[in-house]
Amino acid sequence: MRFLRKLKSWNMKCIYLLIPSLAGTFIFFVIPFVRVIYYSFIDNQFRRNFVGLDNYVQTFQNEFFQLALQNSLLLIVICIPVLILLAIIISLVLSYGIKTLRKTRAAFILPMLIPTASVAEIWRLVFTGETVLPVYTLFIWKNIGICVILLTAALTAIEPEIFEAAKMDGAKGIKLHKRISVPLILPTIIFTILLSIVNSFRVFKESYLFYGTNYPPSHSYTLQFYMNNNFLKLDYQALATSSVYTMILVIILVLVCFGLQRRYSR
Amino acid sequence: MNKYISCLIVFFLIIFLFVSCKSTIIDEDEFIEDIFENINMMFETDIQDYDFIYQMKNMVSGVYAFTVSDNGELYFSNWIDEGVVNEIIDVFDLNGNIIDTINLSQFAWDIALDELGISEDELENLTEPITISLDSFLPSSMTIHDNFIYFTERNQFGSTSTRVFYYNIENEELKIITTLESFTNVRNIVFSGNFLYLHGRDVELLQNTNRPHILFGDSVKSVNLITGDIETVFDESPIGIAGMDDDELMVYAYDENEGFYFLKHGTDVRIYNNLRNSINNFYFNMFGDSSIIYSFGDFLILTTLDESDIERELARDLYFLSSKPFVARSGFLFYNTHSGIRRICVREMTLGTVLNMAHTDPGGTAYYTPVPVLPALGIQTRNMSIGYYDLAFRILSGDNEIDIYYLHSQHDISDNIRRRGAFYTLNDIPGIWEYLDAVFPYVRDAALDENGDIWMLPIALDTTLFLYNERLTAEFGIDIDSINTFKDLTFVINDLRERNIPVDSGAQYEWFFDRYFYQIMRNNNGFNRNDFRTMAEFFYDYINFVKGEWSFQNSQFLNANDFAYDEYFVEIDGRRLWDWRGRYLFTPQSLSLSRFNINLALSHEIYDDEMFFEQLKSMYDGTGVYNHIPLNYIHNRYMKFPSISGMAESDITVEFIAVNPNSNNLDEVIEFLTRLIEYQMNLENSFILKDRSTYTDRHYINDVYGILNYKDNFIRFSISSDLIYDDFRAFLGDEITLDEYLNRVEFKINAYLNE
Repeated sequence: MRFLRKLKSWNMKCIYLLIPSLAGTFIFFVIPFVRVIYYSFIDNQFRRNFVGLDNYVQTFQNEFFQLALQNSLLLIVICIPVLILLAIIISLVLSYGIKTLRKTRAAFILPMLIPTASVAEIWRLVFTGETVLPVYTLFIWKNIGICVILLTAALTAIEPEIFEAAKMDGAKGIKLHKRISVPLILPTIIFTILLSIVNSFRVFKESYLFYGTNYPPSHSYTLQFYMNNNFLKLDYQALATSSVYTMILVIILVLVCFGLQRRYSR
Repeated sequence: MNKYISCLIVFFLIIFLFVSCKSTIIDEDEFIEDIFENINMMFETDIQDYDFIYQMKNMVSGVYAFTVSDNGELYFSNWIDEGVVNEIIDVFDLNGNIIDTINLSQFAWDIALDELGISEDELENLTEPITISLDSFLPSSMTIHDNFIYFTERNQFGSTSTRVFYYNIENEELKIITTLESFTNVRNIVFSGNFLYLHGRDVELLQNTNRPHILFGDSVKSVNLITGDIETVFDESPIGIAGMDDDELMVYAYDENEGFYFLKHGTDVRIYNNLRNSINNFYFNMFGDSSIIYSFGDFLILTTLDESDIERELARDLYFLSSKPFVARSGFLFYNTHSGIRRICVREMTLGTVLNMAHTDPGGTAYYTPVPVLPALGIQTRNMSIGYYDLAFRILSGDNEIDIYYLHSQHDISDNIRRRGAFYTLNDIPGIWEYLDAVFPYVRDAALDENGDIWMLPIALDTTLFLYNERLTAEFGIDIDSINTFKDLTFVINDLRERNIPVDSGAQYEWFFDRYFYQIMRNNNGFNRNDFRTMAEFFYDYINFVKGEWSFQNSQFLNANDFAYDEYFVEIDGRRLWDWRGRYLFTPQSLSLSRFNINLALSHEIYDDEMFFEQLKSMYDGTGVYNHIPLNYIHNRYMKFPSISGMAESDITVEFIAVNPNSNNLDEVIEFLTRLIEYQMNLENSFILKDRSTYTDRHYINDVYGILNYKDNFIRFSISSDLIYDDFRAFLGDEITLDEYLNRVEFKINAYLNE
């Protein structure tokens, strides 16, 4: 009732304007999400027998799901700190470092503009051999642009007076940025980390094009490959349960990020 | 202002999208409705479903020509012997009941007087005797338009002219329209506009003999029904003629340089079809000199005279049926058998009850994509070639556009359909259990899922056979029984080369890689390092990857999948003839190709060298008709193809149909499968049925049957060799080491089987 009263108090125009967006979200996100949950509890979508948590148990016990999960987490644990650190350094250099370098700012957007297929082809010329490095490098190279843009925007939004006050108190050099700049842009850094985590789950395209197969070397076999291959095998249940696991993983990571943000904001 | 303009643009965009979508849907629905509405209006029926074969029950024998009226009535020219021979036209209704008999012989007297130009009264008053010949009027070709049956007479021996008649059904009146001099053997008569068009043969009488001589071959003549003028409208090797809906004439003809083409009479635009290139030289010859073309609506139906039954491999809009007359009307194709008339529904099923068939198109060098070979059983199947991703997406999303899946056990998605239950269970299809009992036992096993339900209908088997010439191998001292493995085979080939016997080593390694991969993986038991190491080393030793050839001694590279010829050509008068096809010692050959060649051999009955030679010589002399002559089968034998491990059984695959459980046309699907089962059960030399009595008694057929009937055979649903093909090439090209190759393969295969 309280919700209805609150709803009534809204301007009806607002509600009308929201309807298309809500409808789109409902049709394209909520319904598929519910269906995925449903599929994860049945034996297959042709016979549709309820099997409880069997699919979850099977998927979790599957050695290739474990391998994929491990590789996906490794990508997050190794690449994202490197990516964020690099992005912060570049942003600081661009914002407060050598002035001539600021003109090169646009170059960081280029990786986002070049088609992934071309990038993968070029990367193949650079990297050879059995190593995970090409995928990691490709991920960092591809995503650093957006991170730098976001962080640079946040840095330039800091009031100059704050720096002046800090300098008067004796802060300078790296200490200045460590104590002043970085804490002030912490929400943006957290947002950039979240964005990068989400992007890390989308590294499939680059990896697929680089290796040219649904079965890359074991070190690059991520959750997306696991899901894609099960899709081709018509195993919707493995696909659905691994999607749910991925969702849970992302929620945990988001919560950890928010927790960190809250802690450091204090 | 900008706000309003933006709103307007968005509004029009929405309207445009709506109209686009809407119009597509409406068009298709309307078209389906139109088809049924027109058919039912035409036949005054309420048919929503069409019989595929229509067998007349009260047919009299001896049908010479027939036609079908627009309302579906069948008109047959016929004769009956009731002491006096009467030439008649019988008329049957849609249900096969006789509704009328037109006795043409009763008009013989009147026609004879007409031709003499005298009346009955004048005859009474004749002062001198005259000879009146009561000729035969038995129609050799006929067509019906409004209430008139137009037909040509059946030529008597030695005749050089042909009379053209019409019979007025309403007035029961028979009249001669005209007599075409130096023109006989009319194959087809077409009414179009105010003209009759006749496709026949130009002849003249040889001097001092009574034998007609063919002048120029075939031509098309027109008879103006108003003025009576006769004109040769086409004389450049016509194959067939057809009337079009717009009262125009369509000619199908042959051009020595370019091949076959369609030509609308009165225009110069020739539309060449690519049958000659795209199908096979064999079919090119099947047109022969007696093909007939019909049109209805947008379809052109081409028929040919051939001894075989429906040619299954051909395109869907071209029909090559048996050696009987055909008539196409209103979506039905009628043809005359020895025992009656059959009616095949052709057009109606293309949309309303269409079975959209999907066969996967995996691509990749190591794959072979099967061509649908389903016979036209009254329900036309529209083929949709789709890739794995699309097919998987359609299956998982419950797509109902595709009704049946036409697949091959070699496609890895086949096994996924079975294991995931993505099929409509076929247990209740009439006759299916009997059919499964009739096929080889291992085929039956493959058709059942883990619960014992029938998940697919097997259509045809395939495997790689080893075809060899028994006489020649004996002459060269080859112990054919000693060739069990591929290493044995390479030993024999090298031995032949050392003896300076020309041996072609053009077999493509991709093909062998594929075979051996499937042999190793036939049980899907997982990765066996030793097997894959052996295979890798074997190929590495025998293949010059850079040159793309086998590393046999004195190797040559040719594209044919043949191993060894004894000669590349036949020499006649010092000239090489047919230098691409001689007799050979041995070659790998797929069962599907063998089946084709065997049937061809049986139909030609070429069993000795002399006949083979004569055929070639006649070609050389220019007197013979080009014919695809199969290899001289008298000495041909088959054995199991040498394997990598020397295993006793053959690796057999199956082409099959599975049904989409979400199909909107399940009734039609069931009907189609029922007919298909009936068709399959009556096949001869099918190489899928186990009943030995359904096979012709020939030594090469016995060989193949023996291979297929081996007790340990089984159908495998294996993973795709594409999975590791790039790695294999990388290894052969020295890009990766053997261990790296094996590690990659191990991961991929284990992941595929266990993820």
